Amino acid sequence: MTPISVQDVGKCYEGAKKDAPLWALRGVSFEVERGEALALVGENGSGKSTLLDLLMGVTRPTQGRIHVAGASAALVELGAGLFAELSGRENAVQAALLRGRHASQARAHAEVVAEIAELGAFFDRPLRTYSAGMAMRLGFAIAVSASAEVTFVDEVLAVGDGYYQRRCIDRLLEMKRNGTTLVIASHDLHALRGLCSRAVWLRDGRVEQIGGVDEVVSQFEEYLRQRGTDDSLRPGTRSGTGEVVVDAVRLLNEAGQECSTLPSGETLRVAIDFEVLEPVDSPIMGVALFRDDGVYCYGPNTRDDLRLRGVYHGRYTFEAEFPKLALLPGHYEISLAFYDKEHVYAYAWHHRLYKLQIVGDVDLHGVVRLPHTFRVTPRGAS
Amino acid sequence: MTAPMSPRVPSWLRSLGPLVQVGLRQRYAGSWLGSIWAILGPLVEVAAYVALFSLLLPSEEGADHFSFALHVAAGLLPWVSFREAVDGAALIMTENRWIRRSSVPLELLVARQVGLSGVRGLVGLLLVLATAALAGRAPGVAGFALPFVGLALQLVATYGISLGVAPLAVVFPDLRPGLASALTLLTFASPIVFPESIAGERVLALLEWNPYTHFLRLFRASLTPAPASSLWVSALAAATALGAGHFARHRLWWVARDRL
Repeated sequence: MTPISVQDVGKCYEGAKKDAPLWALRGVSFEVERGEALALVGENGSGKSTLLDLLMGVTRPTQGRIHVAGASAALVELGAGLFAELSGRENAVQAALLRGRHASQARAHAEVVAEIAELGAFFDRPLRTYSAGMAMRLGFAIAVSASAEVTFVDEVLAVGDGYYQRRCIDRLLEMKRNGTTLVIASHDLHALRGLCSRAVWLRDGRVEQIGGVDEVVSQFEEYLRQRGTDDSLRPGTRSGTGEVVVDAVRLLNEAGQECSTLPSGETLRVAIDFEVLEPVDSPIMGVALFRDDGVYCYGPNTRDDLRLRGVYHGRYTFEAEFPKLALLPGHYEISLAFYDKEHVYAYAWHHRLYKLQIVGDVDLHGVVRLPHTFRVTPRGAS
Repeated sequence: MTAPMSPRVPSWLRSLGPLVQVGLRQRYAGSWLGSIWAILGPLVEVAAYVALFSLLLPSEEGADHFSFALHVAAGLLPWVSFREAVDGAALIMTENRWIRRSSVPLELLVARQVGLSGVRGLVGLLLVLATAALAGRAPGVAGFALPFVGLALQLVATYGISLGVAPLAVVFPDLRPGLASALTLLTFASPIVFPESIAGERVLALLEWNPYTHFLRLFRASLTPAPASSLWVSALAAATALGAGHFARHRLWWVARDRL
């Protein structure tokens, strides 16, 4: 039997008017296999959190059936239910007691939380003395310390600082390796691609698409691009967990001279000076080219072409060369990214930050000049 | 539909004692004396009643102001703990909004609140007994045991009422101010700060119908013998409140949760 089964589920909330009920979800059906990680994607208000609430059993479906087998845990609203006057340890003990643990179990549980949270001496100080990041770390540690066969995760990947995000994703990867069944709702589409194998796209409370994570997320990204509603896809965005700092980016022509304009068909080299602040193992580096209207032209990375091995720490220059760049004349934007070895979270990501103009004297249509020939032959005998 | 991820009753009950301890630390966090205030507060109250009635009021022939001070303390301290718990129950869901996405059972939050408030009643009754004993008025076995039996029954009743009030206050927001007024009325409709002996026959007959009168008689059993009927009426009231509270919780929880 599958650990999670959702059959034709709907959830209706009472509207402001009795005759106008609000359907947060309608006709949702899917199953999740044991040890599988399922992504839930969709815009705000699409029904992701409602679906997770139903799976968690904290609310009831108005129609349909939900079955969740085995012990479940939830990573939602981290930090909720923590008390400012209690220390990190007391909060951890209280959280365990509220989950029904014995006093001795709760004290032992606090030690596990201390290890995950890495708060040092602050763990025994009142929560009110914590920074926002430290409080989030405590909330996360308390939440993930509860082991379960099924874990539901609601939008905890896109909050907090880089360190927190990295720990969060590492922990989810570890849970996945240990066979935990995961259902993850998030706006961090890249992380979802790395963590999950399948995805459900919810739109206005209904399943828009269900299938392989790459296929579904790509369709969803395209939808967002068309609507222009995703901030993370906007040109000029910088993000990342911060282990890698980009010092300088140079666009070089065939002669090695810096340029912002390049004739179509000439070689482009993108040279990136960067510093790795903390040792990172086998990072993935990549460069992507976009047309200025958002069309994704090409984006190779070292995961596919040149697997980088070993630990990187210090200053380096990364070069990506595009010989005889056959882009058609127009305005283009370049993205660059440094990812962890699992290709789940970005140490540094500059999205469509660098401008390049391709010039040429031919008036062609499309994106790229492809090698081609023309031939005309007579058809049949006259 | 999967079962909610809430621990079953026996599993959360074992967490209650340590949770009340943490709650007490939280309540008095930042103060120099910390949880000692849980004893110091009722001690000051009992001392104040004794001082007010024994020392400040003019002595009249035949008037036992000291006993009256203990009589008031034995009624008022458990009453305040009851009132505090029920008042707090009306806010428990809105102040712990996180519960709507949590596996923590509402029962445990309510029980913690009742336990925390009950500390005041327990300490108050212990102090009354100790003060009476120090004054050479040590009660018999029944007089010693009945106040605590009464307090245990009050805790059960408070838990039941609070369990119903918690979701009810979310579904019917007017309940909260209404409840405060009702509790004020009940304060004066019960012989908390006045002795039954000053009430006329009609008032006495009415007081018999007020369950809290019977709880008060049990609390004061160390000072004035309590009739056996008060024990049964209190037990019946506690069982009724518990049943009604559970009924309301199960009928209203999902509606209240969705409205949070």
